[in-house]
Amino acid sequence: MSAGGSAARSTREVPGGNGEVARAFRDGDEAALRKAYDQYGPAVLYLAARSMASTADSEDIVQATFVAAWLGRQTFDPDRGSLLAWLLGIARRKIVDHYRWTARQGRLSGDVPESGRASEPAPDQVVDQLVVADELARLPADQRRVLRLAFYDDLTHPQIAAATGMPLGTVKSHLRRGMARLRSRWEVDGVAPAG
Amino acid sequence: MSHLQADRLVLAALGESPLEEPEAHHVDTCPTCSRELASLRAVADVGRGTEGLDSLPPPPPRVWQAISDELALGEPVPSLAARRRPRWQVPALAAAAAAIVAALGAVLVFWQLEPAPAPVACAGPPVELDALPGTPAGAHGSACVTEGAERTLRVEADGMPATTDAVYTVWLIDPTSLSDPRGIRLQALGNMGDQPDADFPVPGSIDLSTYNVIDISREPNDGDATHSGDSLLRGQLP
Repeated sequence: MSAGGSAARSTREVPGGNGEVARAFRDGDEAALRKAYDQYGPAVLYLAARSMASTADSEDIVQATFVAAWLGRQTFDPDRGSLLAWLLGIARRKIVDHYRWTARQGRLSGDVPESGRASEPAPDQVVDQLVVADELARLPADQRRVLRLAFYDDLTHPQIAAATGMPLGTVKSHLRRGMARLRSRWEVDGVAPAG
Repeated sequence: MSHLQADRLVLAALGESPLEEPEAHHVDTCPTCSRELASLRAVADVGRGTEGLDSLPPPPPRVWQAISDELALGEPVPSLAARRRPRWQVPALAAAAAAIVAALGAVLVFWQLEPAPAPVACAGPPVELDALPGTPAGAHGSACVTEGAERTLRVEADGMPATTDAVYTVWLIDPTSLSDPRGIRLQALGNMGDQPDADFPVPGSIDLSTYNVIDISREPNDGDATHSGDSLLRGQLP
C-alpha cells in the first residue's frame, strides 16, 4: 500500500462507500439490508460459487453471510472500507468455516478429502476483482468506457481514440483518472494490494 | 531525469508502450516511480479480470426467503401492536386527564383534552380486493395507501371465513413474476388481526409500482413462512 494512497484516503470519503445505504444498514434499517442484498448478493454468490462444490453450498454461504452481517451490523465501520468489501470478508470467513467443518466431519468419519480444494480459502484475487468491478461500475461513463476497451479489448490509447471519436488527450486523461480511482478503491478494499 | 508523468506510467502499466531508455533506467532506480508502476500494473491485472462481473446473476429468490425467515424480518406483530392503540386506553387517558383537571381545577380555567390522533386518510380511492375462485361468498375487501409520512397500506377484509388454525396474511406481489420460472417475487406485509381492517407499514425496499398486487392468503399455522398458495382476495393498485 503506497504512502500516497494512505494520505489521499484520510481527506476524503472511502471509495465505494455508498454512505447512505451503509449507514442505514448499520442503524438497523431492514430496507437497507434488502438494498445491500440486491446490490451485493450477486457478488457474494459469485465468490461463494468460486469456492464451493455445489450450488446449495454456495447459496448457504450467501445466506450465512447476510445473516451474520445483519446480526453483526454494528461492527461495520463505513470509514474503514465499503459495505461490499465487508460482506465479502464475512463470506470468505464463512467459506473457511465451512471447509474446516467438512474437514472435521471427514476426519470423524474417516474419509479422506476428495481434493485439495477442500482446504483452500476463497482466492483473494476474486475479492479484488469484485471490488474493482464495483468501482469500475461507479466511474463516470466515459472513464468506464475507455478502461473497458483497454482491459477487455486490449486496445491502445490511439485505438481507443479511433473507436470512440475522443481526442487522444481526453482518452489519456480518462485512463489516468479511471485508473487512479480503481487503485484507491483497491488499496482500501482489496485483500492484498501490492506496492 | 525527472519522475515519469502519470499518463506515461498508466500507459506503461496497461502494457501498450514499453518503457525505453532513459525511462526504463529511471524507473529501475527510482523507488517512487517503480512503486507507482508496480501498483498500477497490479490494478490493470485486476481490472482485466473484471469482465462480466458487472452483470452477475442474482441469487435465486429462495436465498432471500431463507435470510428473511432466519432473521424474522418484517415481523409485523410487534410494530402493529405498538401502533394500534387498544380501545381501553382512550377512556383511561380521558379519566386520567379528568383527575388532573379535578386536582388542578382551581388553577386551570380551561383544559382541552388532547384529541386522539385521527386515523390517516387514504391517499386515493381504495381499490377493491376481489374474491378469487373458491373463496366463500360474501368475502370481499379493499385497500389503499394512506397519506402521511410513513408509507402504509390499509387493508380491509370482510366476510372472511372464521378460522382457528390459520391466519390471513397480506402480501404484495410483483405480477410480472407470476410466470417467472425463477419464482414469484412477493413480500409479506403481515397478518390481519381481530379487526376487519389493519394498517401495514410498507418496507422501503418495496416499489409499489412493481409490487402492486395485493393478495390475502390463508396461511396455516404450520411454521412455513412461504405463501401457502391459498389466496382468497386479490386486487391491484393503480
